[in-house]
Amino acid sequence: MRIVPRPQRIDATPNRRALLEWISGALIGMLALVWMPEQGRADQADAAGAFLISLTDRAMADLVDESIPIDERKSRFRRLFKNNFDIPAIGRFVLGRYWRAANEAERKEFLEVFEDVMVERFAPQFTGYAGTKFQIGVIREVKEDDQLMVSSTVAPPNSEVVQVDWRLRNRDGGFKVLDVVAQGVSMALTLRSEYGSVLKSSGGKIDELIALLRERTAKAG
Amino acid sequence: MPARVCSLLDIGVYRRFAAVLAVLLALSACASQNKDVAAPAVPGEPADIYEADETNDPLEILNRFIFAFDLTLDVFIFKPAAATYRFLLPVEVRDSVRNVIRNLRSPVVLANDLFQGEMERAETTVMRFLINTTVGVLGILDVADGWGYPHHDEDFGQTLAVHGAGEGAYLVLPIFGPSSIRDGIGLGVDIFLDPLTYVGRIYGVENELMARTVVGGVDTRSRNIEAIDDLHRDSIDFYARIRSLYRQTRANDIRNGAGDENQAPGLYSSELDFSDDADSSETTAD
Repeated sequence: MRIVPRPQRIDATPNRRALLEWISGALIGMLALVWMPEQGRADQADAAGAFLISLTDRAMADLVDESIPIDERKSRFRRLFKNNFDIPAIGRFVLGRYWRAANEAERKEFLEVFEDVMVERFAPQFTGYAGTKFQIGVIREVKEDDQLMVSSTVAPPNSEVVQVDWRLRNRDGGFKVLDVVAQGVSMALTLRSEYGSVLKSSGGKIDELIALLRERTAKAG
Repeated sequence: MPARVCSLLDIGVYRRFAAVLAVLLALSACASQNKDVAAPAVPGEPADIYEADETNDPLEILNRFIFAFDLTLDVFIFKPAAATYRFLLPVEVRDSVRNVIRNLRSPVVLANDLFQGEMERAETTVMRFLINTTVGVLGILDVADGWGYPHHDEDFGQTLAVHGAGEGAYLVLPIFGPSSIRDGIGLGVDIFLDPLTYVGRIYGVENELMARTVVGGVDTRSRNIEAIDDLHRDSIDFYARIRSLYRQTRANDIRNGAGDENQAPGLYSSELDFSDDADSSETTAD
């Protein structure tokens, strides 16, 4: 049990007025401290929502039209992906502790092939999503590090609504996506689990992982 | 009457269930034993928390074998059956099939809603059953969905999880596919919770009940043909990918994630550490 100190009595002396002033000043100061980050947070949330809406608008405009050649759609997707996703951070998370063991060249090579994998996987996926309704839901902060989780619902025409959560980070004055979580399935965690399994069985050889991924992208392309 | 119930319980289903339960318990015992002695993969380093967490797969060799068996069945039987079913029947008929099967499952869902203390969802399940069985003509039409009672699923594996049971270990079941020791036990208990199991025994329509399970499986598979193809195409370890997907999907189902507005977004995934020093003590190139 904690011992609570007895509150000290404040004597009614001429100092009382000064004390009251001091207290009210402190109160205002504290209010400002509490309120201002709140305000900043609200702005941050609005900005995150705006970022996602512009990103999805852009994807809808660029990627849903099937008559555009797939190679063109791939290069458009690559541009969007590079500009709006924090690929190094995602790659680092996906490799987990194997990232630490990798040297600079391996890291760079992995990030390159990882980008190709994402392009091959997702660029063709947008056809049929014309007219999809996108709505931002709850936005909340994740720990420190300027990260936000933004929930959203994606409602494609003639299909069931999908719950998609986005992990964003605000850095250098702009947002970048760190993870996309569809119906509770995190893209980054799934890849981490899969690549981790491959790395574990190969004894942590990153070049083998890279070779396997190259094989896949070559087949797809 | 009690004699009849007794005779229901002491033969067939019960014995099979008891055998499955015994095997699962034995497996879970050996799983937890393995976990205690699990050594870090890289000597001198603590085991990766995510990996230990995600993998929890002491039966991996056996699981991979059964997974390969299931995939073979899928290639030669399930997927062709699902594709044929989708090709032959118009979407309205297929939706009716799904609706009827869902409606028949209502008692199991209701029992698990109640076990989990989810009164609102229990009410939804009751209303759905009453509306769809009558207005929806024996469950063929899902009228209740439009009346504010959307479908949801529950099972005893989720009930166990809600009451604090861990998954035990990852487990791939023959034919049924990805599961866990907890969810495998849940699967068995759900058969017991299903009144149709007893109706089937009394009226000798067990084959029809089996047909329901098969048709339900084909219908579900027919709705996932492209999704599973996409998942397979660029995977480099399909087993590990499905294991992770199964885990995350179950975690989401257990907290009734999607569709619950009160749920904080990405609760589970927000625990992931993306910070720069998460996997590296020195600063890494950004």
